[in-house]
Amino acid sequence: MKLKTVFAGFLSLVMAAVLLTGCANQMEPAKKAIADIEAAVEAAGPDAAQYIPDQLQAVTSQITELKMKFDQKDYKAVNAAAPALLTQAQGLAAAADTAKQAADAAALEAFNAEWGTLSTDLPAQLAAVTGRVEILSKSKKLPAGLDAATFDAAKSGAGEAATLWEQATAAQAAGNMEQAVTTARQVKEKLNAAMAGLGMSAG
Amino acid sequence: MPEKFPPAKETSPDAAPADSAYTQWYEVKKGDTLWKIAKEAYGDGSLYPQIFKANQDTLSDPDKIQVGQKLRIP
Repeated sequence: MKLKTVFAGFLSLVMAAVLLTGCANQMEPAKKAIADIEAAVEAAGPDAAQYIPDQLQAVTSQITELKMKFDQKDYKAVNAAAPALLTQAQGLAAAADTAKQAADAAALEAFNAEWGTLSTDLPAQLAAVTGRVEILSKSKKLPAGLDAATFDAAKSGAGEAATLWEQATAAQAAGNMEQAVTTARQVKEKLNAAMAGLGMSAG
Repeated sequence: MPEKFPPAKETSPDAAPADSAYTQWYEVKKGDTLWKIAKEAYGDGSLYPQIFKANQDTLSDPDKIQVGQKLRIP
């Protein structure tokens, strides 16, 4: 009876040792799997957060769940779920790149469309404003309702608009549509202000 | 006689600019002259040739403008 008890105790120890060894054997792969997944997410870079936030969120949520299972020492569950999540995480970079390209193409299309309008509109507005400024510069007296300070502001605004318009067309010629449109918008603002100061209206 | 105009010197058949949304227009009223219109628009009636030049497609004589006529004011 005593021998039987000793044997049972020994068997328990052996089983416990086997279980502990098994756990230890699964812990390292689980740890590495989580690290690999996090590295894949990191590799996707800020583009993932900007262009595919939902996909990124789905992966990071699953990483959090894996870490919780790891903390609970459920390495088996971690190792079982990790491969699929790693594949998902490794796909983030390509998905972000595709989404970025689509966003860039859409932005370029929008810039081109806006440039089409501005490049037709602004030269006519610039000609009207600079023409009026040139004539008023020859006048012996400014018309009623236009004081010297307002005229001077309109005159310098028209000059700045002309310079900016040259920069905008140069940017467009160089293929930098974002810069071209951004600068052209400034031209528009300056010309609108000059027109208002000069008492001119747009049809 | 500032309201009686000499022939404008700056004349050419193609002087009228292309119209755009920014072309400024003025409708001639009774008693208007180009001098008067220029004085109102520019503060200086002697700049009337600018208006005459901009309306060469419809004006052949700066002294002959019609009530209701629409003139470009450059």
